[in-house]
Amino acid sequence: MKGFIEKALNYQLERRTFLKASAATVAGLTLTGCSGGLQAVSDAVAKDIASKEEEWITAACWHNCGGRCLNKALVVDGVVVRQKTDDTHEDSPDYPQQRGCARGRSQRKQVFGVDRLKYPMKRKNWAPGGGDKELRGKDQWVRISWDEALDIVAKEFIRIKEKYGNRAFFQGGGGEIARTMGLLGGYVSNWGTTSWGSWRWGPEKFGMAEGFFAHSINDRIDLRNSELIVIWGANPAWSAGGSPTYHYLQAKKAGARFVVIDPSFTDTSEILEAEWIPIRPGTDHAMLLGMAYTLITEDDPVKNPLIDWEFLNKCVVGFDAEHMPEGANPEDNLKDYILGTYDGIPKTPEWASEICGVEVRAIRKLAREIGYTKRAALFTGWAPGRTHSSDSMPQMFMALGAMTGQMGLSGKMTGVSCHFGTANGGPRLVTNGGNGVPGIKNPVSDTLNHAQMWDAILTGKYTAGYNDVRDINIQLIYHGGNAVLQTREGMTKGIEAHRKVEFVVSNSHFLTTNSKYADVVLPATTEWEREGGFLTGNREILIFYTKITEPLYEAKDDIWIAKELAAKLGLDADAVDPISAKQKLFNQLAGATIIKENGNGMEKLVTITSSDIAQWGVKGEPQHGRITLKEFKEKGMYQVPRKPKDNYGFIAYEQFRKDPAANPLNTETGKLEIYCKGLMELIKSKGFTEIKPIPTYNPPVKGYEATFSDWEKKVKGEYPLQVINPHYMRRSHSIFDNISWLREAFPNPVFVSVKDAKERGIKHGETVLITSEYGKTLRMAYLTETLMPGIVGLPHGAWAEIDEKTGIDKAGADNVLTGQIPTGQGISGWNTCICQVEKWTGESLTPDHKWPQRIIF
Amino acid sequence: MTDKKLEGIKLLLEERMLAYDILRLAYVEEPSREFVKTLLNDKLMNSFPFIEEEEEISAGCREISEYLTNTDVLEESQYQKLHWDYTKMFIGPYELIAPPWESAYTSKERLLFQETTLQVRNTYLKYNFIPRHYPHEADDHIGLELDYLYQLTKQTLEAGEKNKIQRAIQLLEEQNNFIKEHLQIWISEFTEKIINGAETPFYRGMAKVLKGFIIIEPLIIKELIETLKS
Repeated sequence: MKGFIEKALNYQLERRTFLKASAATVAGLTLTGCSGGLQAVSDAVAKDIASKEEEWITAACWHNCGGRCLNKALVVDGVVVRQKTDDTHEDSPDYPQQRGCARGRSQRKQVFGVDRLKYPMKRKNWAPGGGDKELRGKDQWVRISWDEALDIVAKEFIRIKEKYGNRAFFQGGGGEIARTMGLLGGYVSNWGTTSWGSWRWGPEKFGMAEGFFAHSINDRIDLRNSELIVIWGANPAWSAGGSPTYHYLQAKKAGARFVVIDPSFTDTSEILEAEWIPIRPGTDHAMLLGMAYTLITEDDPVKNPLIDWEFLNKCVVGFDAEHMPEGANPEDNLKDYILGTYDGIPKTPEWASEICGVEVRAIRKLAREIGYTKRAALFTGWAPGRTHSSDSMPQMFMALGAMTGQMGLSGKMTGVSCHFGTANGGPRLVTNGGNGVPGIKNPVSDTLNHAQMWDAILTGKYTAGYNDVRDINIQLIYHGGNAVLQTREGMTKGIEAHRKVEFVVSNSHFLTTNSKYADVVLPATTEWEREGGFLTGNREILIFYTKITEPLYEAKDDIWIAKELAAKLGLDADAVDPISAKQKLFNQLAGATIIKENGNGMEKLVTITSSDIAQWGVKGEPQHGRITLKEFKEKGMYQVPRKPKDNYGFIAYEQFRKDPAANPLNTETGKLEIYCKGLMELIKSKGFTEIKPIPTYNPPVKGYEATFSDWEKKVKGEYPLQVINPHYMRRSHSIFDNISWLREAFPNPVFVSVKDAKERGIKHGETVLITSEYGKTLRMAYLTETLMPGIVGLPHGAWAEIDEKTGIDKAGADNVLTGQIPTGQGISGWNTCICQVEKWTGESLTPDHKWPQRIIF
Repeated sequence: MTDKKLEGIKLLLEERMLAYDILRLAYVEEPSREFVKTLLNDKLMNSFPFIEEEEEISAGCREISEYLTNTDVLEESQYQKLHWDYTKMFIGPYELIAPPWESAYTSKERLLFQETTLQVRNTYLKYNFIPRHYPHEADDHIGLELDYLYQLTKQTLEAGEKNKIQRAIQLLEEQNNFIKEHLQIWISEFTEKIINGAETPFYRGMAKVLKGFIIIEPLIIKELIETLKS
């Protein structure tokens, strides 16, 4: 072969001329300025960049995962070389490290994922008014500048406001854009019970805490005094990362026996060597009644004391005819309801068992055990409340605790134990201050319930209250930081709603489900690209994180988007974002407080000097606190060290139990209300369904009873199986679902009991079609003996991948199966969903992490 | 070294510059109408550098030329198709068909801003280059890596013209190392993804040309260095 040089030398004049001319033409093409290529810089600049050294920075791990852990990143000039978790102190049961999970350790894979949304983009077939709206979710896209994007959004806001008014704006979520929309004259918001289910607003009426902002259970160190710990419908090993399961383990080591009531034998049960009581979803109330029947009928204050009469008499109203609040019909008491005195149906364990599927003797045994155990902890997660028609269930749970007196003393407690507060109740011991930004009012009062909002957009009507149905005409949807199309029930309707309105815009990190069906998508920064902030979790910690890297590509903070949009709309942009990011951060630092060493009241956490203030370039006053600003930033966390008998313990209802008259609860009667007029009125006021003032059992919509076409004759119907949505370690709700190593580690199957699978000829690993009245989805079947037959476990939060031709989702998105069903206090009832499962005859699914690229056309 | 040889070296460097110029333009951003027009009017792809020396280059150029001849690319719907082909493969917002960053291949997890990015950044810095949108955009984008080689080839040519032979050799060695340590690591997987995922012959062709060119480059550079050393 001839050399290249020799060949070149043989070139004819023609080639030489061509080369010259082409080089000139090509070089004459200027880049349109978007990407820009390389630029030359001075030696000094180059040297400065090249000399940047690595440093550990506390990184946000900010997701709603039910836990909170310390996450740190080793950063070189914005590149994260590796991550680590808490090593700020030695680990011990009293003073545990706050160690991250697989998701937190994948955080950099989310922030730096190649599929991050990098530029503002618009749907190719969008035009003012929507253009071809049916193409939402399957259109082509065009990269646009921020200026063009904000222009489009502003013009649509103005056009739609002029045509329909502010009541045509629907704000999906995200506090920042809500400010701009508030200034613009307001928007229709949305509301719902989210993770709490019926634990959201009912408990405060009857005297218990909802379990997130406040707790009705004792703290983790006191929990070691419990002899029996009952966990009802909660699996912290999966749904509350960090230390919760570890705290349970300490109680186990201190001698507690665990009982877990759950449709599946969970990792929590396994770790704690718990007795597993399998139960059908949405039937917990029935079991509670069966237990109460056992207590009432077997109790003998002398020979067999199961009921704590002293507590009932002193602290509770509504249990029996002798303890009714003023004005109440004495017949409306719980005891007579349970005994069937007036309705003729005694709520016996046999009655309960038919509904909940728990063996009669197990119901009796657990009731007796709770009754005679001196110090028991009765815990529930929110999952049993994430069921339709369940507004009275939390009240019945409280009633069980009240009847057995398992409240208000060391080792005795009843209430919600999940999320941050799992196994560790009590007020925060350390917390950050406010950022100093005043709120902006929303002048529009219309707000749509999650279980009705997609329907409302489609039908133009929504329930505003009791006998109060109003017209609504939504034409613009703005999604700030949220995932409502993915995570609220009735996704199929939701997509339809998104295809109906005139304009949809969404801020996001990736093409999430919200963004997929939008007209304009705006790239938002993650917490790693922002100035910094604070994270709270369990009551003992406060995390202080700072910026890891500069915003990727053209991603902007949500507040920047809100502010710039306000400017385009001719609004007061400074009112949207009146305080600099640095000042906001500083205000939260300066306002941070910690519990005093004597346990009475709070004091400043951070010592701030005048030179700190000067260095930060912020306004503020020097102050004295427990830790210097420098040390706090370096450690990235302040954790209150704890030990038994310290001053930071918490016994819920302690003062109330001692003297209820002097320390009344914040209820109408000041007592725990088994008869609760406030609860009944609250539910009625929502306008969906009604309940009694005492906790009677209401068979839930789409519950176990609904799996039968003929309940009396026990003939199964079209959808014979019940679906639950376990929180799954691959995701935090919908976040992280696109991270490939998490996909590989947690393949996201549908859990099917061996019995149900056998009856359907389904083998382990085979693809199955899950069908409900509302949609269809595909998953690989994971056959297990750890799930109660009749129940299907479809993990929560998978990003929908709907085949436009068949309408079948292949990701296992839970909300493809759920419908828009508003009940009670506006409950999102995900764990009451019924379905059929069958072998899929089409092409089998490949594991998610090996999925082919998302080719749409 | 004879003037003649120097002349040959110069021509070869010009060929390489032209190749890098076209390729960086093809990959760094969405296809502009001007870019397509230039390729069309000057029939550039018919005479692409090293078209006779390397099969992939030749196949790729043929594919692009045929496409440009048979399709009215400047007509709106065809242009939109071409534009979407780039957007879909390299920008988003759907999952990227062929992520155009080296780190997406070296990390196995399709990530941006990895150690590879830092290595590439530090290499650019030796010659005082940074991406125009540093630090927001990842340094190891294919368009930037090709731009870097374009810039270094240009500097080599300038060094040669000033008779700075040692400088020219050093620059060529730098290019050679960069190709071996970076482009060759990922280019075949990257171009494979384009070839399988592109909807237009334009990008399929461009992928082949890029692949072929990166295969042949070390041979060309080797000869240039040897000749300059002799």
